[in-house]
Amino acid sequence: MPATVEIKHLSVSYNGTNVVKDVSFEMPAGKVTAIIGPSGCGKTTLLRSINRLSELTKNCRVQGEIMVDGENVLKMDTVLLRRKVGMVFQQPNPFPKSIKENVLYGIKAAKIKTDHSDIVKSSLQKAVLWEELEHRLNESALNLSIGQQQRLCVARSLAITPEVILMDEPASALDPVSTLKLEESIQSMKGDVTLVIVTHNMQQAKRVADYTAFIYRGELIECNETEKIFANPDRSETRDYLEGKFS
Amino acid sequence: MSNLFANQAPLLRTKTAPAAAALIASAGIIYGLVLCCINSLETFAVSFLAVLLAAILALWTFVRMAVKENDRGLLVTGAACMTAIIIVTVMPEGLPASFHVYRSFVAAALIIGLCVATLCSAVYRLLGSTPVAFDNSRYPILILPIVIALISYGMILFVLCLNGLPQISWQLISTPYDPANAALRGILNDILGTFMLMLLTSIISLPVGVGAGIYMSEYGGRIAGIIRFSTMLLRAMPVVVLGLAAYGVARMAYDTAWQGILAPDPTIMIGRGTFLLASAFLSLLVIPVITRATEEGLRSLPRDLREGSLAVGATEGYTLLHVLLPWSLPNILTGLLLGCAEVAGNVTVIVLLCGFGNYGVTPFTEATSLAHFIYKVMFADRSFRMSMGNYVYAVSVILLIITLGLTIVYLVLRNKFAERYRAH
Amino acid sequence: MRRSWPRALSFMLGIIPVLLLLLVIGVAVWFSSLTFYRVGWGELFSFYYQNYRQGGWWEFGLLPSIMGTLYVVLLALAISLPVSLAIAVYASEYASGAVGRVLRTILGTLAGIPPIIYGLTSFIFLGFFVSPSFTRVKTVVDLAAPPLHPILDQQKSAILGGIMLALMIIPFMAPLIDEAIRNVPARLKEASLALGAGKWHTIGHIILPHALPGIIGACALGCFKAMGDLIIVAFTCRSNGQLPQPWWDVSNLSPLTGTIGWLSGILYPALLGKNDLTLSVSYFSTLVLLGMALIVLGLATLLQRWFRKKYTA
Repeated sequence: MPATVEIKHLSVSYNGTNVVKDVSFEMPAGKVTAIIGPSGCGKTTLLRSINRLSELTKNCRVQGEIMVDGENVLKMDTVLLRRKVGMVFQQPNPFPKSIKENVLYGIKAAKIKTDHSDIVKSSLQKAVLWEELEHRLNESALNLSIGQQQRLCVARSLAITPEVILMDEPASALDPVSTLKLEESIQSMKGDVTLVIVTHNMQQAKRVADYTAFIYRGELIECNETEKIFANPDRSETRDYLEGKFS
Repeated sequence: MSNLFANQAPLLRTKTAPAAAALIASAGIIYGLVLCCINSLETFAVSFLAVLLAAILALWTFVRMAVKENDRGLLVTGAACMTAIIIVTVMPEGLPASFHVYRSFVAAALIIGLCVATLCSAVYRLLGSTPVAFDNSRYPILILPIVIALISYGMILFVLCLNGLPQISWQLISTPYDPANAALRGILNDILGTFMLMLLTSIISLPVGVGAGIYMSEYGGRIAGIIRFSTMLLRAMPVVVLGLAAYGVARMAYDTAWQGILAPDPTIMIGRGTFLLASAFLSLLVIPVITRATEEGLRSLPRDLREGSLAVGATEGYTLLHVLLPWSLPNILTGLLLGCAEVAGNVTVIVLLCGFGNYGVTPFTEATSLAHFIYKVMFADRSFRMSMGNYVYAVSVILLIITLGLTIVYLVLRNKFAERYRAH
Repeated sequence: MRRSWPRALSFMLGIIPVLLLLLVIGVAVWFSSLTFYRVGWGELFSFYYQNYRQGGWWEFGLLPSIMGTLYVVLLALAISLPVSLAIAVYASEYASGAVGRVLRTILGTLAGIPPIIYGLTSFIFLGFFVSPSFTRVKTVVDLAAPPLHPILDQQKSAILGGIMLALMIIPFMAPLIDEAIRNVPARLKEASLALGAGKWHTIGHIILPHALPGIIGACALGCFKAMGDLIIVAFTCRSNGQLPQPWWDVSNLSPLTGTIGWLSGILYPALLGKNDLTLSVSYFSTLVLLGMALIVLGLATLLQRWFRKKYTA
């Protein structure tokens, strides 16, 4: 079941410097929301505070509210939260285990008893990986190509049926063909899960996202439907950024 | 895909049973620790294990009734508890000392282990059975060994200070020892000897270690492989091998041209060695440390610094003296501090070389050191024990001040330079 | 290739440890030569050991002592490995930054305690599993007036030896394991946490397997230190080289170092310089010990290589 993510007056600071400043917007259930902005503007920090991975960083303070499916994230059990909100990272980071073990890692960690082979198949199918890997399930995941590894990471986070999946520049390490395949799998997930994609590739945002938020220097400049933003943005900063006047 | 977490077990609301089990388990941990000190308490071991078993089963039943969940971990703990009861009952008590010894040992280990397992499970239930509660309930497994270890170290230091500090006097520190003169009963030469050993060892091992480190990291090849292998071997070498080899060299040097350099001149016993010989063998402990420090330092050298120096036309020698060595010098010196602490505390290597230090402290006299003083009192010489035995704890405290002081300085300096040497 | 002076100088200095190593082994072989023709290999590697203190003729079976070394070292590792793991995991994963730093500093400092201090204070732990007649907790009064009785006649126990050796090697093992854990790539840890695995599960399934080469290295180091230690063994274990009767009798178990100390006269000064044969056998025993250390080194290197290959691409 996809869930709505609502961010209300969110501020994040590292060592006293504000990285995200009073950001509020909503990511609708079952849709793809892209967060764009120049590098170092706080996109990744914002994303990591949704599943509270930001807490791993020392001296990080999060203020405000993040609601996933009406529940305040900051008051939830972190493990239960992360089972609801999966994440795919910038660099593909499969575990040094077999492909099958990688996909089933979350299931086994949560000690859920279900039909494992079913889950492996359906998750790999959604990540557009099943045809390639059907007969290689017991091989080490480290032998895969970078693009396959990244899609395996997508499949891995799909296996525990999350409500939201966060993607932190998922295509930045990939070549164009792998990027296309990844976008294909994003399309196939749409509707089953709420997707939040951080990217600095505007074309990619245009291709996959239903909604787009533009963040600059830790502040939310504009958030709207993708077509509206790209065709006719409300704010001049957005237009300048999209036209490449600064980055 | 339907949500896998839809029918998850409900959380536990009432807490009486887990609290009771946690209480019994913590009592058991304390009992197990006391059992280590008072072996005769083992007569209560079986009855306590029975109580623990009851608590485990009660907790399991409670979990089963309250949240309809079969806690398999508790069942395993219960089965282990049954086995422990059988083991402790079957093990004979009584006449042969070692049987008795084993019974306490086994009983204490089993009780502490089982109690920690039960405590973890009970705390997990007590905190509400959430996944984060599971992580937090593992604290006892980590904390308990740490606390026991730290208490042990604390006891060692406490006993040394308790017995040693009152014995330390200026007279003790400032008088040399002379077996012939009852008025001269001090450890001045032992203290000076310890510093002499550290000094000579540093002088020997610093150039050798740095040279080996530079050769290995800068030049490579077959010879570098041999040097690497031998420093690895030195690191793995049991120290007693070095001790006997040093004794062998001292024996061989006796009555040859080397007497006076390796074996002290007024020889009382064949096999005694000079400070120089002792330091040469002690430096085998320090060389691997310095070699590694040099290599680490050089490896962390930013590439552009080295290439920059060569690019402006500096010779290899100039680069070595002005770029490589200055960069890794702090790392080498902190490594040397650690080596010196080891030298000051080591007895095994110099155990047969040292005398009483009554011939003075120069590189070519009979070696002696503070650490060796303790060995002399405890093992070597009955008359020495009679006259100096009371000061053994005072000497230990002085030795500890030197070695711990060196390690603390090492830690402070290493933290200061850590940023610089983080590998690039 | 042009020979430069730095190369020549560092070569000359770097070759010195190799020569010293050869010297050490050469001396040991030279002095044990008497053993080779006075004592047969069959006798050396047998269980028959007798010393003249017990009225018999010298017989030098080393297997009881080798067994004793195995026992003591394994016991020391069995105690120190869990404690070091607990310290490392706690300091790097569970504790807050400040607590972890304090713990690391304390442990780093404790590494400076010399082995002889552990030996000297082993009487504090003497009541632990050692003396059946010991029925009361040592009070502060007891600790303030410790016995200086002749150590050779003190209550001995290999368990006490194992405990003291473990205390000695923990400050060396824990920082190595700690470093190995901190070197586990953060991206793997994050991936595991982001998949809804708890901290404990992540430690068990991702961090520790990845840190395994480092843990093996730490164990090997602890092994070398425990194997070669003579002084703690002298204070805590019986050093007569006998086969204990029955074989699990820990109060009568001697590690190889204890036997070396006894035969060479380190722990029995009346024998020092008196008997060439016992001295020669003690040199041979150091060679045996060196061989055991080499076996451990080889095994550790192989295992490390194997695991490193398994956990990296």
